[in-house]
Amino acid sequence: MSKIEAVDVTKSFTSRGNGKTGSNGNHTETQALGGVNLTISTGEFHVILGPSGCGKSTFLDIVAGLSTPTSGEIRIDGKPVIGPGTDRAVVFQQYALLPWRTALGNVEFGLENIEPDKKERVRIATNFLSLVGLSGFQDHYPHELSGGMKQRVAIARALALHPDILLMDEPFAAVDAQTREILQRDLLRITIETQKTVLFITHSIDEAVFLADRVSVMTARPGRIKQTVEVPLTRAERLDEDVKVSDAYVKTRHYLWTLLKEEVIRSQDVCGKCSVETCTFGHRVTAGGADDHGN
Amino acid sequence: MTTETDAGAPVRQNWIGNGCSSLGNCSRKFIHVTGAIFVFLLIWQLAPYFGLINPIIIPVPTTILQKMIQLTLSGELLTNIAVSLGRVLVGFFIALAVALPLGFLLGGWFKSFETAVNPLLQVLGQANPFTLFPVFITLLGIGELSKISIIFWVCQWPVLFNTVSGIKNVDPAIVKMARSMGIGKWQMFRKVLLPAAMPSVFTGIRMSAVFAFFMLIGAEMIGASSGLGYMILQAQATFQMPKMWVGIVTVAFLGILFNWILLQIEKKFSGWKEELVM
Repeated sequence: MSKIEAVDVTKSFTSRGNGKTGSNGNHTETQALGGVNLTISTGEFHVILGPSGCGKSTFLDIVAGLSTPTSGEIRIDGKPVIGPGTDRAVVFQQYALLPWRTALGNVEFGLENIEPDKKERVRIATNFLSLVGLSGFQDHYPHELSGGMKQRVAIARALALHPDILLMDEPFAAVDAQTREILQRDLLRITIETQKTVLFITHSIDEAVFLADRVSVMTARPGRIKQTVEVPLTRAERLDEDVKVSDAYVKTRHYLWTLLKEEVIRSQDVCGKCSVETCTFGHRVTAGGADDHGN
Repeated sequence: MTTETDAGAPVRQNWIGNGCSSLGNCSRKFIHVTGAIFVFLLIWQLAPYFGLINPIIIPVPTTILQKMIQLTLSGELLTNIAVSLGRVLVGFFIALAVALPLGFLLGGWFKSFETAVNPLLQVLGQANPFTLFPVFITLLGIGELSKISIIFWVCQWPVLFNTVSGIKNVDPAIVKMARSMGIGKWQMFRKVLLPAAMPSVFTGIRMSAVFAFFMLIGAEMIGASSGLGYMILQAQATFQMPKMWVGIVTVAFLGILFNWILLQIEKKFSGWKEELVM
């Protein structure tokens, strides 16, 4: 059964000229998404892989209900998305923890609208903190936690809402490489335990192959789904230490790399024509991509 | 910021910073913190013996203390403190009552209006309040109203500007996160914007407390028949130097005390911050 369905989703942004480059009152329209069609089934771990700045995050925002598509629609269990809802929970790259609340208080935040009983809230929040491996850190403030721990709190906060769908926007991009691997394993374990449908966004090929049941490669801006690739690995196999040297892993990884390479090059070409900020984005993509390849 | 990896538990920081474990530790800390003041007072006390200062114009600390006790017992000092504090507090709290809601509205809901009026507000806020005091006297008379009004005037700007910028600079990631959970506008304000803006708001409040005392003394020296500013100026005019210095020291103490109280309140509200700038 299809859980999330994207039908011809497009998104354009109108940005006002800053007065320095173009003539005054110059409105430029950027098309971020150029018709995304995608079907994700219940319980699937789906990864969208693409160069930075290709519109992956825009797509996730639309699924989350934080942003409306210019045309097309997202359906969840067949019903069109009209706004944010507790059937979906988002984990952001920047953690987005409330610095004035403890780890426990942060996990409680989302529950406050659902669960009126304070004791019950604390019980649920404590449970989810221990699920993400943070029991004993309830009373720590975000500034007392490392990046990886902060993201664990954010994951606990999302899970505590009992959403059907977990939306993750490059959640591990800001943590160091070793921590990232541990977090990826834990996320896999948690999603097996909680049986969530996951939509996960990344620009790292390794992350995509390691986590995904299916990977959708997105084109350079305007973003479209170039191809959806099935990863022929069971979840149990992934938690095995040697998965990264297994034949299936290496082959899938290489195939995704060839798909992505064209888009990274294309996103650079596109950059020649646009503003400086987008260009630096493009460079970062290339660097990241090359890194992934070298690993 | 702690830099431990995911596995290691970071050491908790004692953000209060003034805890001391043992008695010896405590007294050492006390000497460390107050030593400079004692040395300063000692040099001041001894300076006349070496002919460095004229004790008629700058009396030594013990003389000032004596005079202070005398003026306290006679009631004169306390009366003036009460009058001055009354003016400061009324002006200050009216400023808070006006500038805080206004700042939240401008920074949170009427952003484009805020952009439009911001330059005007900046100009008004920059106008030297001492130059405006004669205008206030002309409009409101020489009584309490003009003094309280000018204190209100100087106090509102830092509160207003810092509240607006506090609300406007809330981390967009947090707002997005809260939106993704579908929380309402009022909850967004109460649970996200308000606490996030708190540190900036308190900076404004403490700045305005400093301005309040500046303006108070100025106003009392320009046109008043009571209060500490009046007492200082009168004592100078009648060459009662110790009394003048009692006024100066009292004003300084009141300022420190006021700031200290605000700091304690601030710690209650934004103790989650990594460190407080004092």
